[in-house]
Amino acid sequence: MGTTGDVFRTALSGLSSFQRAIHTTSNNVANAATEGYTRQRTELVSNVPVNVAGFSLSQGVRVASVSRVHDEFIDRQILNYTSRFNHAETILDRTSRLDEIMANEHSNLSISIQNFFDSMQDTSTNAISSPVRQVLLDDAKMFVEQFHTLTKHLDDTRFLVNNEIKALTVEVNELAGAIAEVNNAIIAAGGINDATRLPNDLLDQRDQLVRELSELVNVNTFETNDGAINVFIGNGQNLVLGVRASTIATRQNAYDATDAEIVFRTSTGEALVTSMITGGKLGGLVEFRSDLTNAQNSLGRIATGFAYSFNAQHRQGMDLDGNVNVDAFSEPVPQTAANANNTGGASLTAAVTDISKLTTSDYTLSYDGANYTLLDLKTKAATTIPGAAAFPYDTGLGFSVTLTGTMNAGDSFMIQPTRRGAHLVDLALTDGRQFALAAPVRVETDINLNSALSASMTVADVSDPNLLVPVDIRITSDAPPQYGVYDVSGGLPGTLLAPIAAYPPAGPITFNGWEVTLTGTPVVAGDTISIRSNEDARSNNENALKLIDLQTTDLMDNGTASYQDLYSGLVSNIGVRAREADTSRDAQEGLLNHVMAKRESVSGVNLDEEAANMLKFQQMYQASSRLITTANLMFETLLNAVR
Amino acid sequence: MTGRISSNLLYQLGGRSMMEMQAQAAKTQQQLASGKRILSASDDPNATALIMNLEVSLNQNQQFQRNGETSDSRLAMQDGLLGQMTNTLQRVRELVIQGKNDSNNNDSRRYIATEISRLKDQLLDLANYSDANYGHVFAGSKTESTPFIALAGGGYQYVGDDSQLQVKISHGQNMQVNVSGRQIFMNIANGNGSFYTAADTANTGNGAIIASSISGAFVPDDYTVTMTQLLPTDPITYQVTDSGGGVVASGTYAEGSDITFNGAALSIDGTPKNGDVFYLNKSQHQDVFTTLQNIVDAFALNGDDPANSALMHSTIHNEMQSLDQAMYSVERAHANVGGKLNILERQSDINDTVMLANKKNISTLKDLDYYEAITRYQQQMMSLEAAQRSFLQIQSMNLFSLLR
Repeated sequence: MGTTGDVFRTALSGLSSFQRAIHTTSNNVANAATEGYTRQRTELVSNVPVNVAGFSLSQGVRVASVSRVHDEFIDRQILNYTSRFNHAETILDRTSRLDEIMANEHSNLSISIQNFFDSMQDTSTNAISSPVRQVLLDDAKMFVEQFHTLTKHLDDTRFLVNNEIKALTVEVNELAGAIAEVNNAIIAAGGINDATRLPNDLLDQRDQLVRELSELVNVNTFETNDGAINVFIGNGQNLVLGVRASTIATRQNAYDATDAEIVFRTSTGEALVTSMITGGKLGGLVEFRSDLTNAQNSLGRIATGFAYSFNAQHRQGMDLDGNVNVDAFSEPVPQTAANANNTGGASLTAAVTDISKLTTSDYTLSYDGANYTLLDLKTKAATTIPGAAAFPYDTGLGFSVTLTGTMNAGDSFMIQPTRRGAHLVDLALTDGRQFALAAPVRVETDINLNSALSASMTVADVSDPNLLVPVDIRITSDAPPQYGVYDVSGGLPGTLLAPIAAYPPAGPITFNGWEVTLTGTPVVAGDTISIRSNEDARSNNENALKLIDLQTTDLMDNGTASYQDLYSGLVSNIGVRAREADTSRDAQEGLLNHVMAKRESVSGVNLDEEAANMLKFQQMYQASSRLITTANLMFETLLNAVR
Repeated sequence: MTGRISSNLLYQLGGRSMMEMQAQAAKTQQQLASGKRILSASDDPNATALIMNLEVSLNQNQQFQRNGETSDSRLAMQDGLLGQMTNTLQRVRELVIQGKNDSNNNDSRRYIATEISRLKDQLLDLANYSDANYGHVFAGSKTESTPFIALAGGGYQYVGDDSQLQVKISHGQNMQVNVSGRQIFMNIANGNGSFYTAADTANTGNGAIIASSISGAFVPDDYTVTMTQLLPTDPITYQVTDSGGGVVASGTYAEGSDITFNGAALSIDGTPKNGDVFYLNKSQHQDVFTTLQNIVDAFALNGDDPANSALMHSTIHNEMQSLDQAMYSVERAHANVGGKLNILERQSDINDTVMLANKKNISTLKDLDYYEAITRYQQQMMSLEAAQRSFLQIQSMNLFSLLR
């Protein structure tokens, strides 16, 4: 049989339990909008009954635990998608800014190329006109300026990306330190083994920190028995081990001091982990930086290809003042850099050999003590250069390398054939007169009516110092047909350059850097083929026409693309990357929102539910109070009975 | 899902969907404001690359049109000049026909000679014409220097060059927009184009060449026709020798009848004297100015002297043929320019068609379909409003607010 005291005790257990439950409810309501808060639930169990005189007598209720309502699987998914979403969003954000600049109608290189060549066409129709040539010079200036503007923008972007990488590594370290501290606090609070005093708020706090870390980088966690978690990043680097946090840091790239590389610091030293960092903002930045490399190299390749091919044709021409063999643009040279850790005394230079073979890759040249290895950093294709190779050595990739001094085994160099092309290209001319639009020499035929003689000329060597000397090829007799070649710079009849020879000549007649081919019979004595400098023929536009043709000729990328094709390809590539990032971001956002909603549905606070719980616990509390009144009444009734 | 939903999520979901709808509406609004379907390359990377290529093509065609216009102005100038030259030569021809008529006396021939001389100067001016923009029209590419100069010792020299000035009028077509004066005015075959005739200036008789023509296959060589009449009672005989001295024909001279040999026929009028010599040589280059000068010189001869009169007639007969060759040369050049102008016009039409097609393609890829966009915008605004209203209603439904 129970006693009145038992009723009191039971009622009191209800009072205290429901008070705790209402407290939990009020805590839930208070934290309904707190980020990362996990709703808590008060678990009630009935006390162990006691045996009184053979009866099992219930002893009321007690609080078994106040626990967080969460799903471990959902929490892991959230970490995963958070990191992926931030990765995609970082790439999208940076790429779409790039996209806007490259395709913008004011900074669009394709338009500058077009303007330059349009101007060239206008000039070709009136090569002698100084005003028209001045416009051409201005358009050429604007064209190289466009290269400079775009490449400056890419350089600045790279600088910012490097700074952001540095800043994010600091953030990663801060979060890692905080997680280790919370681990410590959780252990100090008794861990997670006593259900009645779980450190729920610390656990929430730690989950939130890990979630923030996953925004920066892809993470994996592992819970230990004492309630702490270990956090791994990258390729299994243990960023947090229990109460101890490691650090990551940035250091200068071994070839390029301005590029930041990510290293993982351990007690034994530093390990390079840049390429292992995936996911999150940090992984996104690292990936975007390689896209940027691609864009810089692509732009540089257009500038390099343009400068070399345009110059090659320009040197064949003559300007308004009679100069030949002059460059119109400065030619960008490939960049090389020694690894900071090289021990040998070698130095390396590179030169462009064939613009059609240039790629957009960077390369490293390393030495193993016997042979050299040229590694394409984009495709990872390696070619071996024999140790006995003669320099300059043509790599077959559009550039040659020249090594001076001796490399030690393990030494390496970086070669960037086109990286700074758009930066280095510049206009070498200062006056519109200097555009070499004319052919340097012409051939004039003054032949008799019944002669079938005709002549064609090509210039084989514009650097010949006698190229512009006036020369006559004269038929000296028609039976037998003979010809003589005369230097007529001193006037007619001139001095013979070679003995009189039989016509037709065996092959082209070659003097002073030109080649003249004579054809046709019969010839008549007195027929004269004159080779004359075009210094006085300033409307001549033969070279201009050849320069114009460069615009539409597929000179680049193994003869498959023109300058403008490459640029529209670059813009399209960036557009595709931005679109990919956009699609990926949307997909990851959808997934993230989905798991967040799932988490909310499990762990989030529903105010209606809490209101209902509150009413429930309130009524139970009132009922328990009522029991005490009842017990009291019972007690008084008993007292009154014995009075 | 369990069907359980957190109050926080309720707000988040409402907020997020409204943000998304606002972003979509803002993008549509931006499209409407700019009239462009593609706002950045990522909207449609393929179309962006296509548009860039099409714009390059469009620009190139516009440049070809501009090249065509400058070519047209140059060629039109040549067209006008060559037309005037034809007229000038036509007038010379009329004067020559008038002048060779025996009804003229020395004075009237001198007037004609003076006018032809003036016309020759006019022709030289036209050939040396310098355009304000492009310099000397008939100087090849040496447009700065006067191409035709009269030499001090007589004769004319061309100091221009033969270089061609080409202009691109389409991807595959270059058009030569200059002409070498050498071809039109200098390298003209004299006489009838195969041979020319002349009477020796030392001839004493009044025999004059009045006709010459090709009869059969002309054997190009220089022939000499020598007249012989040892006694006044003897018949006049002729003998034709080639450049090697070989006799190719001989016979008795008959006034006005053809002397034929090696594909050539020559007709001499009047009475040659013993030892008079006539020539029939294979043609050589003779410039049009020299031809006119020769005519002027011939008309200046004293027509009252029978030998001089005969020389005049022989010379005029030959130079009349040379003049026809010169006119043919100028007219051929004129026709050539006219043909180029036609080609330009046709090419311009083709370029217009291509440009129109390009513009249409660019517009299809780039421009916004306003009807579609406006409809879309209205739908988006409607959805946004609905989201806002429903959000307000849902968030007001709260059990706490009903507790009293």
